Amino acid sequence: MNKDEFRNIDICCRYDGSFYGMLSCIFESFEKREMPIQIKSDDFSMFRMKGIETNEEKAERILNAIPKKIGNEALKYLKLAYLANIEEKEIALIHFLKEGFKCGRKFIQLINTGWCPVKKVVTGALTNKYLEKIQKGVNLLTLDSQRFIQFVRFSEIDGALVSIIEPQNQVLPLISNHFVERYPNEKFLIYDKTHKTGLIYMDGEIRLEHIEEYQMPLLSEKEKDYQKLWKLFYNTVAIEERKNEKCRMNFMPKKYRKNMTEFM
Amino acid sequence: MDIFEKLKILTDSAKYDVACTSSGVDRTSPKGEGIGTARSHGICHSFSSDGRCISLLKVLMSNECVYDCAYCQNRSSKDVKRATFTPKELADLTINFYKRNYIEGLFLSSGVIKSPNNTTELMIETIRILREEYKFYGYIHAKAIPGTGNGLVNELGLLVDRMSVNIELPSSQSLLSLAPDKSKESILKPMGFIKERLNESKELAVYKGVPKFVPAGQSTQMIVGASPETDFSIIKLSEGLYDKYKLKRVFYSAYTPIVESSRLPSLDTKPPLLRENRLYQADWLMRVYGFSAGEILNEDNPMLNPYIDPKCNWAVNNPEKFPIDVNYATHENLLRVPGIGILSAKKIISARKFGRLSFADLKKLGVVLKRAQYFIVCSGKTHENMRINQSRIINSLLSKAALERFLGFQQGVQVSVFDGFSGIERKENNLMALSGQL
Repeated sequence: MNKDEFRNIDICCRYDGSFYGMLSCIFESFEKREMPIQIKSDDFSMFRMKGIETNEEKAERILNAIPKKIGNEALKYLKLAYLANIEEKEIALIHFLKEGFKCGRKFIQLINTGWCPVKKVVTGALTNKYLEKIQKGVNLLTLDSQRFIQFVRFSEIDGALVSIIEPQNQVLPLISNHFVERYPNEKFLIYDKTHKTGLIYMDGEIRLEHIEEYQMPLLSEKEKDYQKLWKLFYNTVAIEERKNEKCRMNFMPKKYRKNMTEFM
Repeated sequence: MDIFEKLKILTDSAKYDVACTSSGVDRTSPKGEGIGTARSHGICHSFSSDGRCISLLKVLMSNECVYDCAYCQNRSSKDVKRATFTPKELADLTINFYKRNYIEGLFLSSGVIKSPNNTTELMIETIRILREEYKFYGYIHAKAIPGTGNGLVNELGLLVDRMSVNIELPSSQSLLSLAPDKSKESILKPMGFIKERLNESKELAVYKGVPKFVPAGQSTQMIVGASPETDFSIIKLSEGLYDKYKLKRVFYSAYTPIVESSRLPSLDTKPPLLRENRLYQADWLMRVYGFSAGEILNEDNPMLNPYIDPKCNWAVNNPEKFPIDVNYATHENLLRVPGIGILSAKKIISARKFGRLSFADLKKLGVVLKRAQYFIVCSGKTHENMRINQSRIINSLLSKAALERFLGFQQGVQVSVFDGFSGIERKENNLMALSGQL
């Protein structure tokens, strides 16, 4: 057997869902040269389960190797892929790293050109399939985070800014920096209803916290007035003669409108 | 009058000024004081039902005006309800909208109350409250009111990110007939002054702590379709403005009839949206792709073709420059191929280091083969070995109905070129709001 090849095994590896946990699974796979059939963070699988303990030391070894052998951009990409909504993400990432370690620094250019599958670099249709999946997922995540920077809407409640969003990807870590810079002296909470996570900024400190449930408190009269003013502005600024629903839909798809003041 | 009514009146009278961008400057608040940032790519916070980007709170300080410009709904002779924000009111509204992530900042223009100086002073006071009292570091765009003294323009320029003087109409004859109170000189004078101050400010920028004068540069806007200028004279004018006055952007606003006047197109005229879109495309070619106005249009051929975009049109009319080989062509030449944009040109350059590119690879890189295939070869071969000639290209880029009209256009039937093809218009319109965020 070619030593580059991993042996396929009919086992589902389970980890705790954390970034380091995922890296521990990847480490295990590289160490044993085994490709598990599934890697999951829940219990739903038809295959025999094998629990993988999160091991910080092993995870760090991967994190240290990537910038040295492939490059910093690959590391950034790995982190984005972890946050993105990708089918069989963990398996795809093993393929991603396997190919990356094989190509070395050339791999970065491959990322930058958008994986143009020039035959000399990437071999194998299967690998290519996974790489495309990752690329698509990461692109969607980046787009999603840009969209939420645009479309998050806050309400002022007892001096703090509160917002609820329902993104498909875990965008909070990607948008946090923008909002911290934008509101250095405010308190704010952005609650991600899909992933049950809250981004909390208070007294100059930012943190991400699991929050099982959160509902928007009652709005004050003053807050209601500002929301009315905004709706008034939004509806007035449109020019009737130029109406173009399709164009609006392109830039602001319906799925983002759910929690936006102007559509409530 | 309450704030609701004021906001309604002053938004309504500001909205026909189409430009609304928050681009051109990158800034975070120093030492984490106050509130706000600016991002050089600009951020659109919403899109109105006409598909335009809403990035800034775009309002007038006041819709009272001493001038009587024919095309303007705020002209002094018109009977409309008048309103004026107080500086404090408007500053509060801006900050509260900003906090809720509705906007990136303020776009402030105004009718002329009493005198240009008096109006500018009110605007300065509003922006001063924002900048000094609220320590607001978001984006502010202000209109320079023609006729304002240089001292005040300077003061305003030090507070805002971008300033613009509207050129209003693309020629001095049209100005004379439609906006008799404004002259070419009164518009170009402040524009020239802003340019001078920008230059000085750049030289001073080596010293730390010198406040910057309009860091995001100046822009302008002109109304298209209210007067008889050709597209060629319009883009020629823009080229001159970019060159001479170092403008960052020229915006084109399709004329929307809101007032009745014998000097203007009738009230049932549709705004020439497709023409506006074509002008933006031509403008983009000049700013980003390195085309000159003379390459896009000329005296004999003064109108942009409504059926194909200006880049395709140029390529079809310059067959001797094509096909080019994507594996060897220079960056500039790649950019001239319809279907290859800024991003895909860059990707081609870096991808071809790995090996020869094929048509399938190009597709993955984001090249629009539908258009590009007629102008490129990959290692000497055309796409699917097809033969290329001009009529074939035009045939395949246009629908059958459009083709018939296109042939008419080529033969010089230009009287009503921009009427009656709403089908194409819709398709092209999706690009329109792009002007907001780039």
